[in-house]
Amino acid sequence: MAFDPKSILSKGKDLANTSSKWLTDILDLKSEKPQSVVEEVEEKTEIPEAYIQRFSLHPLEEFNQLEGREEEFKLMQRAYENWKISRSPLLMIGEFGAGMTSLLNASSSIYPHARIMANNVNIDTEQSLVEALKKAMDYPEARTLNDLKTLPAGEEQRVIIFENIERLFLRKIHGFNLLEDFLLLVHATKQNIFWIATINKYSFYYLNEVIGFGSNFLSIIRLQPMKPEIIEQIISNRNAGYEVIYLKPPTSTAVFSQNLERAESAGKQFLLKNDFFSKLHAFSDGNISRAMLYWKRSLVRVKEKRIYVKAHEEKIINNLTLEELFVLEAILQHTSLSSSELRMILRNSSKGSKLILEKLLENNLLYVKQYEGSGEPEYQVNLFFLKQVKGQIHSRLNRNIQ
Amino acid sequence: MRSTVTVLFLFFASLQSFAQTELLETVQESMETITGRAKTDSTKLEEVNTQAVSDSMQINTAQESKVGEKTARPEAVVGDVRENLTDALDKATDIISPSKILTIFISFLFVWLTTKGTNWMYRSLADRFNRHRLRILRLQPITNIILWVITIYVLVVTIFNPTSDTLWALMGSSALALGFAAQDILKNIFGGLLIIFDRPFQVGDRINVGGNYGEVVKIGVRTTQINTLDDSIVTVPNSTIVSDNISNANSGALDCMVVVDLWLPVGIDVEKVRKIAFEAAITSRYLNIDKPVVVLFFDHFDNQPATNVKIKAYVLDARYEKGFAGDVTEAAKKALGEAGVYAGA
Repeated sequence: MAFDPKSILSKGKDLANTSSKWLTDILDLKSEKPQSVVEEVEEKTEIPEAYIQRFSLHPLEEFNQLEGREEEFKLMQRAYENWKISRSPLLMIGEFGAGMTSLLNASSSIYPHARIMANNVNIDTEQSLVEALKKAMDYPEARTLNDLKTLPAGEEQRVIIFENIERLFLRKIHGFNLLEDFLLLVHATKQNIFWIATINKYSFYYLNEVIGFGSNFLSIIRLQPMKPEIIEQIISNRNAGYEVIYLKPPTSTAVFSQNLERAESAGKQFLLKNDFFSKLHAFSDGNISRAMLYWKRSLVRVKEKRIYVKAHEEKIINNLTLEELFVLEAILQHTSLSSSELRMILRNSSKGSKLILEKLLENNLLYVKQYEGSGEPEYQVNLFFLKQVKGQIHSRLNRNIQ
Repeated sequence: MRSTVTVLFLFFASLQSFAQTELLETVQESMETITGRAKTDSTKLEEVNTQAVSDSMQINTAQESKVGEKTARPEAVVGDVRENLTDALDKATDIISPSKILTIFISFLFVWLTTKGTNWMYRSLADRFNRHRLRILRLQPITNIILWVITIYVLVVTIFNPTSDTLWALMGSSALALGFAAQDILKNIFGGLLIIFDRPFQVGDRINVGGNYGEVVKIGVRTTQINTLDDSIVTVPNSTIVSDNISNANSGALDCMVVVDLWLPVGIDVEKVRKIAFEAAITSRYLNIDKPVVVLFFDHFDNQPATNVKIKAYVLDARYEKGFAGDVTEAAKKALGEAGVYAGA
């Protein structure tokens, strides 16, 4: 094939003109057409499942996939070294969707023989706790927690990761017994077992204030919000192979619109990208799962390896009643609750609890999840509205949660 | 509204007194002018007498002219008085002209509406930022007072433009009139000012005055309004509040301590009851979880032996005080029953 610089140059110019025209149409800055391309695109929201899968909220499995958690990882290593001297268990505190499970999975490089106990439903009897623990502790003969306390010291030092320790309590009279029994077991066996417990930050706030829960752990690691540049990097990695086109947001300031009008095509994309990510970071607050959700909500169209995104405008929630806030708070404190558990916690009638739950479901503030081993469906706070729910609880119930 | 009417009444009373003072001053001025003229006339008469002694030839002429002056003087006096009275009446009409009254009325209406608007604004802000509710609400009475004082000052200075003497006279006469006629109103007003500036309580606090316990919803110039627990509005004169003992449950804080009393038989299992009582408090949705919960036991042998269990805890917002007490009592009672505490005693 002969090399013809003139024809290449001409093709390049044509391509540049086409892309410039196409961008102007897409951005719809000066268009006087009543039906803009943007509006048409909005109507035809088509996202292939293969692309959506890239942003699914599954925890990572491998250490080399983990990004932005180097500091916490170092602290975990240090806590393990400290345990060898002080024999103190480790508590890890994090927000929903902050990447706790991913970090624990990655910690297999520090503790290769660690047993991870993922507790997704509430454990409300000693028997079910013993059943779960005796597998992790390799003590099948154990019948009670006292049996487990007498676990013979093995040659190998064991590491047990107990995820979601808040699943051991229910905010009701006598609802703390199992958690206290478990803590006694941890103290009784900490010579042989390096216990790592994880808890969500709202449960920790409550338990620490009312029963001094934190004092049982000498080492505490709090998962910090991810840095904006790391979140951007993760999103960029997941978009590998696609070109991202940022569209004009539904609402913007006059200054921003003016700047956008004045800028060239490339400059416009630069401005729109910056605007988009500043909104994404404000929404996510350093929570990677919320950032992913925001990205997914902002998707307009994926076509021919091009992704069109437009900053999502969050629905403002400000009409929650006091009872609804109490329900949301109770669910946050326990990660998820079934309808009957909620009734016990709020000392409500069964019908009353259900009615409130239905209303919250209708407003998308909650979603239902059916866990394996749980008889009833569990209600969980929608991560998308978590920040607003937190804000309402902070402001109206005077809780010091951030 | 009552306080507004009172202020309006006081203002118009002062205005009347002010107008009277002006009128009196004008009449006094006229009288002084007349006296001055009379004095001048008598001096002139003396000069004429002297002239008569020195020039006997002109006695008759001088006497005639003296008689002529004597007959002309009363007419001039009457004319002067009439003129001065007309001036005084003109001045008085200038002071209380319909346009000025209308200006005052419109100004007062405007300020009244403004205070209503600012009150609404404060209430909305307090609802929006519940955490800072009490800080916002405490600004409400201060703003109202400042608005009224500024308006009255501006009206007096711009419309009447009184001299310092007039102002002193006005203040003196007002004080005298108010001292006699509106002693109680004055007491209440000073009481209101004391409450606003000394701040023994603020809007949103839960106070007990003279057996009325509830949330302070308004601190006015004359009265303070309390919303009691059975949702009645009690209006207490400020003078009564100033002279009475006041207990304040939260003193500007959003939360307040609640003491829940449980009465149990003397022979209870203290350990079991303590755990239930403590957990009844810490599991309540109304608890302020940032503050400690204390359970105390007291034995009483007055009429019938009993153990008084006191649960001391803080409610997240003073408004839910009774809700919290009821919730804790209900939960504790149920759990104590299930634990067989009553039966075992």
